[in-house]
Amino acid sequence: MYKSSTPCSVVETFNGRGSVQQNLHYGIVIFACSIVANEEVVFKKGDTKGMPKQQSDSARWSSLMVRAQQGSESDYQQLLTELANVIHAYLRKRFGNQPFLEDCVQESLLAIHKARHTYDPQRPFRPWFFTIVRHKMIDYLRHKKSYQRVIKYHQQEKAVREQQVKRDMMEDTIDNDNLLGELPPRYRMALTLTKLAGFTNAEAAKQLGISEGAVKVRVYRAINKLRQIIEAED
Amino acid sequence: MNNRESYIAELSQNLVPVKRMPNVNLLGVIWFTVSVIYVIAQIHFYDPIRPGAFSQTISSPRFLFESLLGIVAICWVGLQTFRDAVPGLQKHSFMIGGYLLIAIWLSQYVIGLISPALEPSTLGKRDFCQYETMIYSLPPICLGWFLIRRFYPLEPVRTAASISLASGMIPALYMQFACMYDPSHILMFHIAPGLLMVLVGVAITWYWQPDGSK
Repeated sequence: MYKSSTPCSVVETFNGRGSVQQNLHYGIVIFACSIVANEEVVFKKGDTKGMPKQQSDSARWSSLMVRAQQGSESDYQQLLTELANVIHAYLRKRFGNQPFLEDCVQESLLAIHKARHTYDPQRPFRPWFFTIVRHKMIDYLRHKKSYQRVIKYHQQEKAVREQQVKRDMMEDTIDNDNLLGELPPRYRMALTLTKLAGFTNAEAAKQLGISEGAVKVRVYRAINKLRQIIEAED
Repeated sequence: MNNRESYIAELSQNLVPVKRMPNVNLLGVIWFTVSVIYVIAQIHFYDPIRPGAFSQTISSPRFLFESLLGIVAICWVGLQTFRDAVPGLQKHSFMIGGYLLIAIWLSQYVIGLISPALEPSTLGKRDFCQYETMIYSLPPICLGWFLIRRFYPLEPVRTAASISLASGMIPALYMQFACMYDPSHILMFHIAPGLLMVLVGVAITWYWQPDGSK
């Protein structure tokens, strides 16, 4: 079975225990690790240990969930491990490589755990599963503050030049193929600066040359737009 | 063992078997039926209804249509609320359909301001119809949320608003039989208090969340 090679201790460090420079360094490490991880998950389609075809996946997950509902710990563990890899690949495809993906995966797993009694084996697994993931992803972005606060603390001691480097790096991870690339540039910038790069609304406003209120509005609209795009995909 | 693996192991540890959820559509219909019976009983218990109100459904087809449309719209919204509490079950079009029906139903009263379905009169007027509407809708809200919170509403505010809307509209609809018929009175003293209950319902459900956290 495929195991994620992303070092989660590195993610923890990135979430606030190191300096900005360290964070940048670890960001690169995470990026590299995730590329390796996702190549295994997404691109090895013939590999049955990685990500088999949708139909058989759905049927297997359904039967695993049924046994989990009856209390089978091993089946449940296997199910969550497989789903975690799928969620990670799903998010990475839409957001590019971002340091918050692992947090988002774990939030989704917790939601699946809490909602496991609502799964009906007579219905397909995937709509149930992806509805939860989609909502958790949007929720996570909307309420993402702790990471922002930690970054803000570190940024107080750093020069604007370093912030610029960080911003540029974050932008580099967003290519036109992922979900963020589909947002209008002004929304994408606001979302990237506040939710991904960890700037406060005031700092983002300064960088974008707009008011703080306008940043909030753009972030709000960006999240709504993301929701619409994801719902349209589904 | 990395962070994710330990997290999954923790979630899987001491896994408690869960009961299969009941049929959510059936539960929605039961909620609607119980709520309607409760509201009708309460209204009849408090004061007699307008004399000849039901015979007016025969004499005025538009009044009948207005009433039936209201029943269907409220039942639909109630049902969609229960479906909304199960991930992946609710279709967007189904949800839009419910709100659209409510809007069409309410628009009948707005049209009634110019061309009423029945001749407006003060016959059967109840002194506290607005308060009755609000108070009678509280038990359906609480019952509905008590049932819904057992599922997993991903959009709790939307779900709470929908169940409160349906609950508020049940007494508001029956008031057109129990109280005087005048579209302006209906809009101001029956519909508006019913709509106000959406805010009250959201507040109630906010403090009564499934996991006890706000």
